[in-house]
Amino acid sequence: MTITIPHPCVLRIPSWSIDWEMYERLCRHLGLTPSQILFEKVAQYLLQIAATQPTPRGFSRWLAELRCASWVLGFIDVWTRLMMPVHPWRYRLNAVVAIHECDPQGFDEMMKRSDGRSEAWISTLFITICFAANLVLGPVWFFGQACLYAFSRSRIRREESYFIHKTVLVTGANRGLGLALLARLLSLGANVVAVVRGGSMLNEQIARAGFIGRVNIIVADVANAGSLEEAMVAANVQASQVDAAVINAGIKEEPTRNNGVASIKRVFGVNVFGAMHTVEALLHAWVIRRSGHFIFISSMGRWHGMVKTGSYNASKAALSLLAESMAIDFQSEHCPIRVTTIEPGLIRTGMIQGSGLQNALSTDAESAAKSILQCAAYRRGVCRFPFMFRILTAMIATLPWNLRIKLLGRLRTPDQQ
Amino acid sequence: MPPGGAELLRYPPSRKFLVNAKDDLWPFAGDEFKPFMSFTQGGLGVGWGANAVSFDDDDIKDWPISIADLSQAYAESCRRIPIAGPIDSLSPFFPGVAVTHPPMRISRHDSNLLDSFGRRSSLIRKTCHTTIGQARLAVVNSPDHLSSCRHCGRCLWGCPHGSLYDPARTTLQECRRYPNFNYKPGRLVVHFEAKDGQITGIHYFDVHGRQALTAPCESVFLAAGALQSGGIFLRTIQNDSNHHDTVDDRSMTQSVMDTTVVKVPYIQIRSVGCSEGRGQFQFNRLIIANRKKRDGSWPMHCHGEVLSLNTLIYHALIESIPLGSRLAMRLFSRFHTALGVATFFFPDRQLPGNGLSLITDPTSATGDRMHVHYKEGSDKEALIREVIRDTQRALLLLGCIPLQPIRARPGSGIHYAGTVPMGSGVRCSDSSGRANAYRNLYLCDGAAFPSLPSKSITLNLVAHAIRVASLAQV
Repeated sequence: MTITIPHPCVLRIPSWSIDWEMYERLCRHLGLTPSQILFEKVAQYLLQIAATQPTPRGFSRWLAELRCASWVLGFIDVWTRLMMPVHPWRYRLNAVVAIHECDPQGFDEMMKRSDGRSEAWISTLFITICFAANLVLGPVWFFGQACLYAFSRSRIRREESYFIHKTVLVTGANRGLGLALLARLLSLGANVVAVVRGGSMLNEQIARAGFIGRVNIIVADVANAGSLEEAMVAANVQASQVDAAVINAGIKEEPTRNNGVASIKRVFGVNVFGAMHTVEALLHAWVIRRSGHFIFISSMGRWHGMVKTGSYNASKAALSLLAESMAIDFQSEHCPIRVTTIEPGLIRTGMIQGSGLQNALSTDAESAAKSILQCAAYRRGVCRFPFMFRILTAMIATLPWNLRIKLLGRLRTPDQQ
Repeated sequence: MPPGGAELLRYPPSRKFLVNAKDDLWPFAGDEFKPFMSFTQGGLGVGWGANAVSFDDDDIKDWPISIADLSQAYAESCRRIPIAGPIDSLSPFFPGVAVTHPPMRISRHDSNLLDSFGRRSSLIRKTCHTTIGQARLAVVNSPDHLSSCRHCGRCLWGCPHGSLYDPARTTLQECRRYPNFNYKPGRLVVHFEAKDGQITGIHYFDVHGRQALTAPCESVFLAAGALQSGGIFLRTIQNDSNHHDTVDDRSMTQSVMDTTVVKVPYIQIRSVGCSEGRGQFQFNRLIIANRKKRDGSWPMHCHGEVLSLNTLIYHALIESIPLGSRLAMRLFSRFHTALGVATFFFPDRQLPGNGLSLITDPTSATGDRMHVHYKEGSDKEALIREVIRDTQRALLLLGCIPLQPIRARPGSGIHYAGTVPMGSGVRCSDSSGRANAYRNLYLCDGAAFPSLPSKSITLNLVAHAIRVASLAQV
């Protein structure tokens, strides 16, 4: 079977989302054959449901966002049916059943059985035993999950309460990490001002999903001075209405000998000056209001050089230092505007499609968005993840210069591989 | 879907013809009676389950007309509407039905039920007053017809072959062949202009232009559906100064009626674990009748439809089983051919206090909303209990396990009638369907029915409309 990699520009609301892996597991659990066409219908349906249903909170949300193994689905299936009939897992399961029912092959699989009365009664006995086993073992699993939830409850609640009903500006929101941040903010109950360079696909997805009232899409190129302010005026968005800004827009280019300086300028234009243009568009109103939160998306690459990514790493180093300096300035002026710098490692987005070791060290965009917003909710000044990548970066950064050059010089870019 | 969740494929997209209570043009207020309505071409007839049965003399014993008066109209109806069905022991109860096509193919479940009934029919008739037979359905089912049923199992999606009778596709198209027929869509009739007991104009709301307009007229045949017709009629007499000093209460229509729906689900033990092909006609292929002399004025015949669950949309049923999707699906796949439901429609009659009234609402297109006042009489409860008890006993004798009956909320019968019934007084019509208050206004739909028998209403509505048209003085 051909499996296509999900498009990096697909909006997925965390508590309500389904990805191919989860869909495949659900199909296996239900005894159905997964199909790409049916998967897309299920995903589209769940996106629409996310816009109409209340966001789950607390333990319900914890369960909804769980990436569970196949054997756990039995417990979730039975116990959500008994205890939480409107839980996102019910919608996922029922959507898979409903969509497959409308497909001839799916229907035949659903109704597959041998023709015999005795077989039917034996099956009924087997189903009863399975159900009883679920009733006995399910609570043990649920108790374990409840303990894990209790352990991380404060972090989850903090994130929920920090962003609910807030207006958050996100730059570069039409793909990758920006899109994941937009989806997560929506699921947390925030309203989002999404700044994009070309928004037709995002517009379409937001409209189809029914989030029109909660997302304001602004088309602006942050690299151009004044572009964001003009777009905000045109869209009737005032800086004083924005509570926080996630400055995420960024590009990465591989400079060649012919376009080295031009490429560096372009990368700095978006990653550094674009970020500062965004700050400029909001800062005046925030200083008057005496509140606001800048969340800069930098990179752990800022700690060292790397093959063919010099302009990107240098721009992120500049961004991190600018953000740090800004935080120091606010502190010295007793201005209560907060600054958080996020330095993620590898994130699997349209910018990076890793494999092998890269995959092991990287994280997906949804998990990264969750970590970023939780760090921001805790008002941490700087946040670096994933943990293993952080350790690796610390080790590389402390190596002697010559050794570091030799080691990093052996690394190859994906096209060289 | 789970309770409160959005619906997913519960109604196939091609069948979304109902007006939603949130829509602009939803005309009703109140929640004691929740009606269904449609503005689609063909109206609620498009969603008809295709059952074509006629009233008999006992059903309309309290009408000012008899079956003999309707016989020609029934003959004409059966000429226009194809009817597939058998000639069997139920035929005498449907004197107006002329079968023109062979009966529809039945499933193994249906066949088991008929076999069991055949073996014990005299006992079941005697002790339970119940008869089961094949349905009379408005379907083209002769192989020599181009539009003959191909048993593709797509009835719920709207028949792709045109086998099912559809008023929008047949009657309306037939009307359009006449050069002097003019179809004007997008007009919501609000009331009529009247002068000296004559209708002189039709006051309507132009849905596209969003403005109220009036068109002159000489005669009016009103067939907007019993509830809408009742509303139009009520506005007309309320606006008519001729009737301001009448003794009749003009705040409410004479009455309103609907059949009460009670479903008796059952499990047929013989069909447990059996397989059933997909290519089945998706509406009921069997009918059930409870027939006995009854107390009061209720008709003898209580009509029901027997539907085996082998071709419906299943996921909603699977989700309702409290086992989780996987186990519920496995259980359902073993048992679904054994599951069936007998749906009874109970007769109704005029009761004091039941009727439509108008509540002023400037946000509505008509400037008001219709409030349906509806309560069921206590003697109906006794009738329902009696019939359901008989049916449960009959099902046991047929080798089925009857489950807890399910009663639908008022308004679910979609057999609305009696808002301007045949009778005396300005709020009624005469025996030819002409309004007593206006010499040129004819009630062609169920609004003119003075009582509502149990049997499916559609073929009888057609016959009534044909009779009204043939007797009209225009």
